[in-house]
Amino acid sequence: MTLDQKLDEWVSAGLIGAARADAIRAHEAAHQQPKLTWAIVGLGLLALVLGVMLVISANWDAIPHWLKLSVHLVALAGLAVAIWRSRQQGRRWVAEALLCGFAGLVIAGIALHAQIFQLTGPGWQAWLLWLLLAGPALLLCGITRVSAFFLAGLMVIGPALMVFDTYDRGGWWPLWQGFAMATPMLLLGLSQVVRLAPPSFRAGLREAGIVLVLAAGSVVHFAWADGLSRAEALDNLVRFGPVAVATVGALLAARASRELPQALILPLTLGPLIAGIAALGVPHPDHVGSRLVGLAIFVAMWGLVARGAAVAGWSALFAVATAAIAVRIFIIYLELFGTLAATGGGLITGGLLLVALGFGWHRIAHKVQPKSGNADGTTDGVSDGVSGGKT
Amino acid sequence: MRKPWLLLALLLPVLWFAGSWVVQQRAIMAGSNWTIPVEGYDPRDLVRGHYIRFRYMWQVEGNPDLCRNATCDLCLTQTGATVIATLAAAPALCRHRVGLAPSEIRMLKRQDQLPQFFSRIFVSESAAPQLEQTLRQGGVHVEATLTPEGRLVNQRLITLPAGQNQATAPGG
Repeated sequence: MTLDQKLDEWVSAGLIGAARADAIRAHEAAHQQPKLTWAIVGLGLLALVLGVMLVISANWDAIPHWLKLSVHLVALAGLAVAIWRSRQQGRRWVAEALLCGFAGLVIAGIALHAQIFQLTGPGWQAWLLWLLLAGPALLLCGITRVSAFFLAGLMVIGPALMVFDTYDRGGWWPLWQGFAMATPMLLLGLSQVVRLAPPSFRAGLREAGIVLVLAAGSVVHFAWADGLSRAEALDNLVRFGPVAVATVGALLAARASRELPQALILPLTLGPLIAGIAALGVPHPDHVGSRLVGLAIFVAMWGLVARGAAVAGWSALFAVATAAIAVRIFIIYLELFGTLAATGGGLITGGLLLVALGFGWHRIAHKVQPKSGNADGTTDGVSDGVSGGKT
Repeated sequence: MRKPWLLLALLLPVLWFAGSWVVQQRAIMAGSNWTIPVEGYDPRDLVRGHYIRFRYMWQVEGNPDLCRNATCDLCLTQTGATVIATLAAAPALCRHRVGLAPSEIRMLKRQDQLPQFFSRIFVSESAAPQLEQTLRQGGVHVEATLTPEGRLVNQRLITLPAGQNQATAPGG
């Protein structure tokens, strides 16, 4: 529906007067962006850039190494200067786009040096080097959610690849893997610590942290579907050392910053940690009983999140928590019986549980009053990305 | 207060890449040059991505038991036109030491046989089909630089004319 149609509808519904509608139309007309022009210019620029790239790639062998390396260095330095100037001039989106290009040039440089000097190795080493070189710039120069999500991706993907590649190694490796596993919680803690960063950037880090922490806390439940030996559990406990330290740090930072609703701090920090340690740090057999314990812990973790979200008025998170519990109940049914149609009783119970969950969600969602701030009274102008708006 | 850190963060990749260029270039300039015959070792998949994989066709000598846990080094020598790679316990104390790990050389051991050594080199997409064809025909050599730290850096693949299909003497 177009703005004109909406305004007509609002006028006929008596929500606004005709004069106000005309004023809105006049304002929109005055601030209209020349989208078509920008789209054509954008397409032209894209074609130009692609053309230049094709010319370079077709003559790649003919270009001397020193020239490739020099152009890369000059481009990187030029972008650094451009980012600096854009920030000083207050052109935030230009600075943000340049920052992403800067980070992209860093990985291009890593690939170029690897190609010219025959530097090869596991892929995660390149990812970690990318994080080390581009991470500080993204953290200190990031303005919006775009750079926050870029940084979050770098902080998670490289370490995750390292864990998968080195999982069987002994010595100090479990400890390094623990640091890698702590990155989601580090992101959450970091979002509470970088007080000087722009609100949108902080919100992006926080949203990425919450999503990744809850995703990690959920994924570990797959461990209940298999047996875990004592030796494996001990190794995992070593891995959880850095995760526990990061969790305590995030918890303290969240309490001090008061940016996260108080009702959500424990469910988002200690909840996933306890669920993770229970799944990976406690030996258990591959048995129906242990699967049911896993289910109970999963439901407890997400139940606490749902309760905290309801109290804080984060309706989207509340809906996700409810959906997670519902999906898990279906999965345990499939795990135990192999099919949904094995016994009618189980299916009826599952269905009733889901109906009860839906009904409970509806009641709680309508009980929570719309709020302009967090449960503790602090203003949270950037939580909408996770909460999806207050109920 | 924040500006110096911001400046440092933006300069960090520039300084790192500049430093990496200097360090790598110095190592290559201080190294010795070798021309080693190679063969594409997997005719079904010579070009994977933008890399050509090959086997060094040097003459391997020494005790294969030294490489039982993939911890051996190679000592390169030249006899006439032949490059000899002698197996030695790491770290080997020889003039032209090749470290397998820093050179990213993969070793394939077979029971009661001397190990074989494999590496790869970046080629552009446009050059790859021609190189693949050349590798099938044989007579391809790799020009490589052995740095003082024991890293064998493959520089380029070349085809030597018939009768000159063996290694050149190492130069400093």
